[in-house]
Amino acid sequence: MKKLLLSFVTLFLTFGILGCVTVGTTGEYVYVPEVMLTELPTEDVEVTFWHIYGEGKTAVLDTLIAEFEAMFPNVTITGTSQSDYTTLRSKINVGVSVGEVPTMALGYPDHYAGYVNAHAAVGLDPYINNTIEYTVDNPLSSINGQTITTSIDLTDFVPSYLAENNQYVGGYYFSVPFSKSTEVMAVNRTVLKQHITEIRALGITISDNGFLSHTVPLTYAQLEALTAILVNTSGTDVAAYKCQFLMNYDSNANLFINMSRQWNAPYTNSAGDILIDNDISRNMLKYINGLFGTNTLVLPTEWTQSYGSTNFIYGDVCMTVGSSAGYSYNVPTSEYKANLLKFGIFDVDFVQVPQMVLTDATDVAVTVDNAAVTVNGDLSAVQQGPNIGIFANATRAEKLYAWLFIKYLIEADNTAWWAMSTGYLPARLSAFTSDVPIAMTGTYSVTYSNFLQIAQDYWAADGDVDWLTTDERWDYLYSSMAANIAKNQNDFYEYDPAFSAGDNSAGSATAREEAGNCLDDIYNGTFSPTDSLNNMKSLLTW
Amino acid sequence: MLKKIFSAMLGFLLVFVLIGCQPTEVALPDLTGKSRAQITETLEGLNLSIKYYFDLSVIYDEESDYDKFVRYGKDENSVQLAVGDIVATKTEIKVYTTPLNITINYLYSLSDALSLHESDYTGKEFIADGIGEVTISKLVDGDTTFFQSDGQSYSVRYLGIDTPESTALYQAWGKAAATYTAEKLQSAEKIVLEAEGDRQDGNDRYLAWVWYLPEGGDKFLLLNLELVELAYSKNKVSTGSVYSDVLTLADWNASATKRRVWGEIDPNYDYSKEGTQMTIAFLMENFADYMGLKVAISGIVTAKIGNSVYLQDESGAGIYMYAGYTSSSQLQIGAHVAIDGLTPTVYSGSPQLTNFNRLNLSLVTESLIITPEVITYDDFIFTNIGKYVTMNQLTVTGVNTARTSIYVTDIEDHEFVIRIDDSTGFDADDLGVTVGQVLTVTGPLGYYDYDYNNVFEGYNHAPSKFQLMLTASDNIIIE
Repeated sequence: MKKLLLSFVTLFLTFGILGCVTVGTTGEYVYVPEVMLTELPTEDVEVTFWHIYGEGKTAVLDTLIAEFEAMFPNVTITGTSQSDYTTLRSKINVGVSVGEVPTMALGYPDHYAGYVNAHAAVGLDPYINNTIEYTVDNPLSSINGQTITTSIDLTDFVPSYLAENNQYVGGYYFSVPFSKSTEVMAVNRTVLKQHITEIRALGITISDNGFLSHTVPLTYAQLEALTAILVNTSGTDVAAYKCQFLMNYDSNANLFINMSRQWNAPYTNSAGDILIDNDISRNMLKYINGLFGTNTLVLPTEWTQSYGSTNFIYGDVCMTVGSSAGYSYNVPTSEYKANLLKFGIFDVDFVQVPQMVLTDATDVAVTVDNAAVTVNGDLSAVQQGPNIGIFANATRAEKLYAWLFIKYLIEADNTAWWAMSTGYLPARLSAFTSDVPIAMTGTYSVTYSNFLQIAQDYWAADGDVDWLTTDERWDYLYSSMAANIAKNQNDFYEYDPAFSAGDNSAGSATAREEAGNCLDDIYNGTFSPTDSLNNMKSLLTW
Repeated sequence: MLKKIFSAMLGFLLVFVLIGCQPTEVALPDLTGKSRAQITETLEGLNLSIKYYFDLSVIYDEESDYDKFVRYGKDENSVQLAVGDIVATKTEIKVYTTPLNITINYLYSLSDALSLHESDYTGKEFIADGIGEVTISKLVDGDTTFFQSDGQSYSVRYLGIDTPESTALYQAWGKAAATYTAEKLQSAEKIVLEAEGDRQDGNDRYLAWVWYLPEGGDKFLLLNLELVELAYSKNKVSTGSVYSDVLTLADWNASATKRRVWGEIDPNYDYSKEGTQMTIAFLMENFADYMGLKVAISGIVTAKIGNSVYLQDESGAGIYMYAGYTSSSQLQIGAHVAIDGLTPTVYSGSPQLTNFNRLNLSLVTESLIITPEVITYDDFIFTNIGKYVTMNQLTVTGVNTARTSIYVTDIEDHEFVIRIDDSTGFDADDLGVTVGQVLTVTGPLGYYDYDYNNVFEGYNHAPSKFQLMLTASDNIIIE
């Protein structure tokens, strides 16, 4: 049996499916709704949960698992970290082919598109809409005698989070939002503070202590103007408070995709069409190439890094766009070698990601190859972060408890605690208004709204607050900043459609990867913008 | 004719008897000592189906413990089943076993194209050519080692794997992985590093596949793969690597056994959250006994280096607590704090506490005053490391090129170093330190031995490797 299993796996790998596209298509999808159990199973149930969290996030997760197991003593939640999303997806793809998968797992929309396509993911609508009331009948349970339901109120979720999770087949949910994030821009306030008069002369709002607006994003036109003030292209000039580059963009793929939305440049659609062969995309890439040429924009490949955070901290670049969940990587601390920090431990602020325009469907003129081009722009910020779902070959009891565990994870107070502890964003709207204080340490409890208030108070005081050095608000200042910025731009969150590979084109995961490579190739001079786009097209369609 | 009728009747009778006799209930057999294969054969023979679970609640320390029956699980009515219980045939029986045996499927049978040959590395050097023979410079943990080639030593992070931590952080199976890596490298006849993709990671460590020729062996083995196959590490998929597929398969097989990093209890890891309550003095006196376990201590913050602090108890014993990137506003100089769940470890010969989590910190009192103890070179003993001290009459004999190490002698000509940490933002020049000056310096007593090889037992702390840590510019008096 084991040999048979191994043969299947080897065969699977031999065909090169692993990790690059998705599990095989099984014909037109036929949705079969789950049949709900009418009573809570009392037998021993093990729910296996694959995630990618390290020690810190696992500790938070373990607390939630322990609370859930106290409610349902017959259930064991076994969490296993699979290191990273690439490994997680690869192992599930292998597992799907031989019917050996966890009960539930984290995953991006690209991942779940593949699982759905292979009939491996469970449609969650029956759980979401289930009207059965279950009575907990277990003297050992912390909620013994209570009545529970599996249903959740979808109106309590950020709408674009929901749309991301029901985009696969027929509008059904095959995953639900769990750990969400977006992109935010960290800025070196110490440098900005030295150029306040010049910056104000550009019409950009900046406070006396160098805070930019937290509700109105910078435009790319403003960034181009700021380059003349803040950049010294031959190298960071500490005495003049100038960096070598103005703005780093951590995710080259996000830059391509989000910029496409801001330019209204066709990229892909939910039908799986690759739409990049168009003049708007070509002009967009030429424009980005122009930004590369003036050191307005830089990619981590400049420093042969995957992220630009370290070089932001070193003072090579004045601003950097990255995940809101990774805000802490953009805050210089004394943990770094002092001689590498060109501006020392400088002040950091967080603002929204730059936009082409400040109002949807607005025209803006840009220069592309020395010619004026009009862009009809939209606001857009990337919506990212993993969702969570259940696999089809689990038993009905396992599926039911897996769903109840998911429901517990995304309860308002739990999603708020998870968000404040990890840097992610709450999945539910009610987390923002809950008045239940959440214990963050033995001496500090805070509601999510008061957590957001930390940065708001700091900004309102122009950074000049009278908090004691031992005030624990300091420990949450930067995460509060990132969370506020994320909240302020949630009106224009966008996500890219997830789809599996088709007969003539690649899947969305490959499209995203090649979008990033396309920009790296332009940055490194491997291809011109036009040739790089043609190369990308040739790699994604056949 | 009658004979045919009789035969037919007999046939019907036999079929009837056979069907009628087939049991609809069976007694659960005693499966003690049976493997999963034997359990499956036995229970399927009784017309029962099986669902397997692992019992990971106890330590299994003998190879013969693995893949063995532990107990039956509960039935659908939540009743615990046991040997002899009567169950209906065709029902699913839950069976708990110990973790399974590990099998090595790929390490010795890599294809020729994936294997390392002498011609691949002969005449080449790792840094310059991306492949080359190296020697061990310093052992770190399961997936990081300092190697040496062409006269230079450099840190190397192994590709495709991620063993649990055993240095700044201490995780289950981390020490076991580090020990296994050390044993394989130290007994190897040759070690060859092979680069693939990015040459370095964000921490300036070189990235490599680590091949070694075992003593007496005739074929190089890929240590990265071996660590995954033996469940000392999970695989980190390296997209595009020629070894990705084989590592994924090895990872898959290892994870199915639930051995080591996949869920088995590490007998040498302390799973408690709070740790054993003790004074810093007691810990320092019994340090080896608590290495890698969890302790709960309280003390006054005497000095800060970045987010990390030195703590000192009422008896005057001190210790360095490494906080890494975890900041806490409560950890201010003079604050009396209590911290649970810390793990004593050793870094370059110096004792330290790791595993700091803000959730485990509580503030006892703020703003206490700490009086340093005046010591001499004769007090450079292990139990004084971490103590907040003052030393007088120190004559400057030199400063290193980075201007962060001040070489001094005391009045009896003992030589040692005053160390200015990078995080302070100042150096010897900023302080106006020059050769020949006489200094009085206050700060925590530190220790640093670059050659410390992660073996604490039997290690002697040399007085010449003690350092006086200068953490604030007003803690130095130039006479």
